[in-house]
Amino acid sequence: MVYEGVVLEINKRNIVVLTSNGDYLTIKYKKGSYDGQNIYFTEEDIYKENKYSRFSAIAALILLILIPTFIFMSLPTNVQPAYAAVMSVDVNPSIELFIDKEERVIDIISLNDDANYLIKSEWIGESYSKVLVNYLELIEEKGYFEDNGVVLFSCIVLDEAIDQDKLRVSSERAIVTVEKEISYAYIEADKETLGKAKEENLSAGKYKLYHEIQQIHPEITQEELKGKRLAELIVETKGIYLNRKGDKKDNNKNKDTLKEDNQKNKNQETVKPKNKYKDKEQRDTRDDKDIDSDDSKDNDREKKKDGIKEYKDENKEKNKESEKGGKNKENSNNRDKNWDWKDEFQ
Amino acid sequence: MEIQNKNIIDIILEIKEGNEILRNDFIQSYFSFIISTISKVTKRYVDVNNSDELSIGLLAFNEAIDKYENRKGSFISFAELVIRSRILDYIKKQSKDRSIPCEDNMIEENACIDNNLSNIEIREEIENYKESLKLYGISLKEVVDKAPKHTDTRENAARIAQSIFENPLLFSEFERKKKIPIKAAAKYCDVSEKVIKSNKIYIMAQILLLKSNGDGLKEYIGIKGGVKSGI
Repeated sequence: MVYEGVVLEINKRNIVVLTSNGDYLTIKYKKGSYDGQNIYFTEEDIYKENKYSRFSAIAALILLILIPTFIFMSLPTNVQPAYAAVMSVDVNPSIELFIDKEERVIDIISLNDDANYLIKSEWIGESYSKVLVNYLELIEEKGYFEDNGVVLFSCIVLDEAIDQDKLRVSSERAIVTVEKEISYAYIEADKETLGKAKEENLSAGKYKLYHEIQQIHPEITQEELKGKRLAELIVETKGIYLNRKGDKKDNNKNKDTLKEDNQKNKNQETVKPKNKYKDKEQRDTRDDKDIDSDDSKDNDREKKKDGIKEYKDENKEKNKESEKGGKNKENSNNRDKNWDWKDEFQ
Repeated sequence: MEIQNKNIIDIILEIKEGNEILRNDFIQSYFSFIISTISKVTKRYVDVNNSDELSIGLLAFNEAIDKYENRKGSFISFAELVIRSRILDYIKKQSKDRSIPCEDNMIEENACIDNNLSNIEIREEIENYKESLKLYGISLKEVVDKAPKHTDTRENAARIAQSIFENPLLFSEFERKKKIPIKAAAKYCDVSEKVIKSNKIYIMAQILLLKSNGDGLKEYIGIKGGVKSGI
């Protein structure tokens, strides 16, 4: 096809023409042309900016960043000195943030496929709190927070120079920015935990969580645990923790006094409901109370759903309790339904 | 269309036997090939109006038809060879005549003289056009990027531009606000607002083109509609 066009503008690499059929095109630069010249050109002269070149450069850059981190992951004991702390953040997409002394994120690793699409290379170099806020916003935007969503932080300090309290405060503040009602748990772990977690391909937070539960319930396999929602697991673990501390004997009671507790228990896992659950939500789900959630793993999805409902119910009961005082029996029945293996523990 | 279905050798034989209509059709269908061959040799774009190269190329192609024999390999490569050598001959002859050793410089100078003499008007017009685009906050690059690639869409957008330009009310509104009065224009042109919105930049560019004081660009677009088709 032959095009006919008037030269409108001559640039260094291309020429802008107005074609006789009213199209504006950029064509390859050839010398000798001048503004207003009427020229013939063909399909092969049309200038194509290589849009992929920029993209592939970014892809190469990401690879360059990722490859060393993978190498690092396979050698968890040889922690690079530049990392002052490793924070793992589990929602369902799980990431690991490598933080330097100045609380800047210097590396990000996604721990599952969901997270792969969320992490952004431009986060590298930003402050931990900023990255965390962005990440949580993104998760909320993409709808990963289920009702009563939980964020599990685990902090592994590699260099004592970093201000651990500041990391915790940053994490807590980031949670507040999320509009949805979510809870969070904050775990502090050590280097060995990180190494073991890497061996099992888990985040340090999840590893520790699973480990705690398995200590008390050795019959539960990791596969079973993976099927459970984080929220359920954390509530369980927290109970165990507090029991050990000897503060509270009753799990349900613990739940109510949780707000106060977590301020005190700085070095333990804590769950802190950000807001009280709205009454309306609870009413909606009330009818679905008696769904059995003890199905095997292949019913995972449904189980999760049921889990949410029951969890909500629980909370409703909890609210009632705090209003009227003492409906413990019903509440614990409810919990038993949710946690078959918990009975054995109690 | 006839040409595409037949064997090239048969066509050439028929032309040689004196079918002049077929010869014309044949040359026209290979026009883009001729253009790109000339362009490759001269390393320049072929000028539409006063290009010796173009006529030499066309003559050379014609010559190739007459001289082609089956044993000379494929017709296309033979024709390319003929065009190439004729163009090179011409360039050499030109530089000899003016006794300037470097042919590149010569042609450039030549072009400069041409374009200074005959193109002042259109150049001015283009300058004005670009100025007015700038005034309306549009860059030429934007126009290139946003121009609808589909011919129908583009023609439709050009029609809308024409209607807006010809309606004094809409046009004065356009000039005053420096943007398209989308609602009124959509109603007037009987198209959806979406059409105007999505081709906003192009429509604005076209209105400004129509508005430009010279006739060169306008005529160019108005008269020379359609594209010559080739291989």
